[in-house]
Amino acid sequence: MRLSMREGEAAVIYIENNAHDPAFNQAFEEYVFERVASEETILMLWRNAPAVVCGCYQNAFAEVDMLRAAERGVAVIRRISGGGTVYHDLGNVNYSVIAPADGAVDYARFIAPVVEALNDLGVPAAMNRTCDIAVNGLKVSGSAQKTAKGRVLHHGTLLYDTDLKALHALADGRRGKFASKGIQSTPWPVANMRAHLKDAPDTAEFAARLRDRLAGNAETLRLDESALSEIRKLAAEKYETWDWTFARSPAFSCETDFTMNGARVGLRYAARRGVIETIAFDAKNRRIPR
Amino acid sequence: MKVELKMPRLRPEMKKGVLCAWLKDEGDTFEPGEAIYEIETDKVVNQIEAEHAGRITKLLAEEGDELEPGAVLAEIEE
Repeated sequence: MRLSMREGEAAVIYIENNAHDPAFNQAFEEYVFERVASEETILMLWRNAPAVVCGCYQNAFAEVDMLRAAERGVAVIRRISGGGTVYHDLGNVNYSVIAPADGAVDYARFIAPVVEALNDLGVPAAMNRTCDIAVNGLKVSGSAQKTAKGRVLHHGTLLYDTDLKALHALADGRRGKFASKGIQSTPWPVANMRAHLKDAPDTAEFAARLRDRLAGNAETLRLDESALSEIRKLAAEKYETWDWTFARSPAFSCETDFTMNGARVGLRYAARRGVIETIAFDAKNRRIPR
Repeated sequence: MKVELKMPRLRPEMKKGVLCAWLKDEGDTFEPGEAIYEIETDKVVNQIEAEHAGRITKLLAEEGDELEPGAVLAEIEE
């Protein structure tokens, strides 16, 4: 099943994006969703350099081990769709589909063609829960959506040859007890798909085969320099800013502890718009050795 | 005419939605098609647009509130 085979739907066009910069790629996707007028279904396959990507209304501080991400030079970035935190690297292929929508939530419409394409490639994938794809019960793809102005952006990850150790280290949520409103991630065991392809091609080749199956000989579009310059501007003014990725986190409080001179010290702080407003330490009934 | 803005049901199985953001404040006016608020349900961020022109008279739900479909979010004047 190709994306263009839906009854009554116009043909699919494929928009090429070979960049790996996470902020640029988020901006690219938003630009196409908001600014590229099309009655046709748009498909994009793209990859990011290592990045932790949070859902639109998540508490980034509770979801991401920021210190570890900074130490490893991994970008932390917020996206415009809902859902939980995911880890991207060059072993993961992201797919984005943009299509007309009537406002009702429908995942199967977009996931079914992807499952079929994966099956064609030899991956025994199946739809799992509302918006995941799994192989033998292990999640290989999660997806999320954004709807606005009569259109839907559906996008998902496809774990092909991702560094799963890094995924768990960076995107499994943080130590400490966080309390806040907003959307929490719901972790699920994950796996890569590479072992399921007989000749186990590299990730770029996997993406190319997937593109062929999903879009066939669809027209390929490249955005022109003026569009790319708008996208770079959007990346710099939105996705690379503290305000978008961090300050947008809902107000939260956190209780944790640390060791000082061999004694455990309790710590509680409250933050709003990414800035700590109150902080209290508690070492009551704890002896601090000399 | 006074109308209540309610949490929409975006799929038959929808049990709750989170009011993520007000894009308009109390007292603001809006035109048909203008986005008024965003909700999230089932990993979808939905921008909800006005069907008619109007003005928000009272916000009754806060950003971050998790509500059932049909819950009143605001009072508007159309």
